[in-house]
Amino acid sequence: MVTRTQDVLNLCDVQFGYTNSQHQALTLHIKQWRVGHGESVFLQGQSGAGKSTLLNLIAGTLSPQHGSIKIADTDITQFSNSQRDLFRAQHLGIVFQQFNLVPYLSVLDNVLIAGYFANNTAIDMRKRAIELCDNLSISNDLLTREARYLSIGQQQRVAIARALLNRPKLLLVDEPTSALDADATDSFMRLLKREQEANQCAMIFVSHDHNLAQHCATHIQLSELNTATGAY
Amino acid sequence: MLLRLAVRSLSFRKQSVLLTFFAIFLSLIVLFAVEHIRAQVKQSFTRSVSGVDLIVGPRTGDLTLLLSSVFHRGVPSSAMTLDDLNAITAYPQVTWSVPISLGDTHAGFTVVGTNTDFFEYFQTGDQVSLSFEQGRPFAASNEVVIGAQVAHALHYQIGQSIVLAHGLGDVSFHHHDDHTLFVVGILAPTGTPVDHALYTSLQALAQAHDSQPKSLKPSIQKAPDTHHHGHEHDYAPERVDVSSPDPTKPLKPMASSTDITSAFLGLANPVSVLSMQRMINLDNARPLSAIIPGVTLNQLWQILRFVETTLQVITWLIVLATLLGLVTMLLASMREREAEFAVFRALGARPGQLFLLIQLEAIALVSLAILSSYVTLTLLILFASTSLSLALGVSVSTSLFSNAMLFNVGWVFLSVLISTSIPAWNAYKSNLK
Repeated sequence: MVTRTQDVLNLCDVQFGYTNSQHQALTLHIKQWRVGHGESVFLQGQSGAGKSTLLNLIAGTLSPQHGSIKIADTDITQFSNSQRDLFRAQHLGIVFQQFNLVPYLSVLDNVLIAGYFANNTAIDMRKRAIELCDNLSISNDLLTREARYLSIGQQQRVAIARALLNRPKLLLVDEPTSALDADATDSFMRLLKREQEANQCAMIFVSHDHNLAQHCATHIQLSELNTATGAY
Repeated sequence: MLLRLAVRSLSFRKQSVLLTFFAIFLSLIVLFAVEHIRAQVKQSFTRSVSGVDLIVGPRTGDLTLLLSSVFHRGVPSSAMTLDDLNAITAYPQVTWSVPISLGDTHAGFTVVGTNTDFFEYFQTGDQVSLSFEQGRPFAASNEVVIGAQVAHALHYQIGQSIVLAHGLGDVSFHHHDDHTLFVVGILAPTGTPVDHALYTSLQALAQAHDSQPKSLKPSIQKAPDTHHHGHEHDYAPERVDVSSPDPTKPLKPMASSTDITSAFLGLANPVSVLSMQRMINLDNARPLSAIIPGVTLNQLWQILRFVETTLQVITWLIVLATLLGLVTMLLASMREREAEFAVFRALGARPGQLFLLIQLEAIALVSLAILSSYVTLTLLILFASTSLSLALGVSVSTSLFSNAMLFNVGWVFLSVLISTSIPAWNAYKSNLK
């Protein structure tokens, strides 16, 4: 019996440490962290604070040694690796710092490929992909162009469109503006915020740049969240 | 979708992919060509004779008898007589027999003395009887039938007069100058030693040997002049009308004491081959040997087996070296594709799908190479089949397709799958960061 909660993400006593031959140090220990439906969270952390580890844990490409990670009330730590892969494809949208696109595929294919890996068989995928691109100011003539010919700003906007294609519950956005100049960053953030709200999904925005915090309702420091003492 | 990804990804890295493609393409051409010609030579070799149940000759080794009677290489040190052959033919199991008498040559080609039954019973390949490209069997003691390669190499036509030389070599010191034979028939090509021989009657050979040479002055057999095709009328001996046999030279029955080299036998029931062979081999009154052509041909091929194996090993080494090149190319691309794989993983691609993507790329490339090399080689053989046949002495089929070909393609694919599992495993292990 699954009881519906208001949480889209719920981490409970999550412990993770990288194993190496000498010793095992705990990299991450999060007692409790919740993100509500539609909430936008600005997660600030210095490099080495365990940002990547945390994102990999939420995305399901790493598995914690202890604790539970619930996304939309589903505990993904109970899943097998390939179940987690499919769950990620269907319920999470991920945008990296850069290199979000497959260079040799067209813009439209780059968006549609998210549907392929999610086994999304909805018939209006193509229409939705074009709509999303349009909303993110990607003009129609760009759709058939190979991704490598786009500017970084255009590429990052295509990455948002793709992250939203499968109507995810949660967007994971990791330093998406680090390669953009100030103007581009500003318009990117406004488009991201608008689309996140329009699609009613929660967002975890990870950055070291506190200037971007203004775009998110909730602010949190990773160092407050992570109680692990072992430095990595 | 995955296949489309693979194809798009390959066309993205055109330069290295094209180079790798050509390497695979060339090595596959070598593989298919060597395998094809090997199979053709083997087939033509093991099918040099068929329809003959037993070969009989003077008591000697199996291979000696086969080499002399079928391949016209060497002559047994002793002979048998027509009387011996008649005695064997008298057995109820024997339905036909054809005598073979060797010892003469013409311009380096073997002259076989026999009778007209030879054209009726001797078969090659899959029980294919001999057929005449032009003309007819010999019917008089001054007539000769020539094999396809003899006609081709010497530019002989019906009505051509020829002179036999005694001995088995290009250069002979004794010509039967005063006994002239006329070409009355040209056999269709068979891709076997039959093409390289001339066939005449025992009577013709006997007459050539009986007639005393006017002079024993050594003379060198002149090689046919092939440089003056345009002036053939200047050099070619006068051609004679041979539409009907010369009535003054009939094929009289031969004395039973006539020596022959060997004979081909046909039996009523193939089951009796072994008992018949045993009977002939154990008969001490007439010291003869009998061999089953297929069995001895296989023994002979076993001797040549190491050449076959060496060729195969070398060819496969070439293919494997090329496939290593393919693996190297894929491995080299892995680093630059790390970001790409991270994207796929973030989108929910299962590691197995990435593994499959790399293998699909390799398979797509190799499939294309197989297809192109197959087509190219078929065209090459089509254009070069005549000169290939001349060079190899076997007819080369233009159809590459065979079970062995399918088998080879299967092995190539298997090798590709195994060798590309190394870069594919790299893709499998890729992570978000």
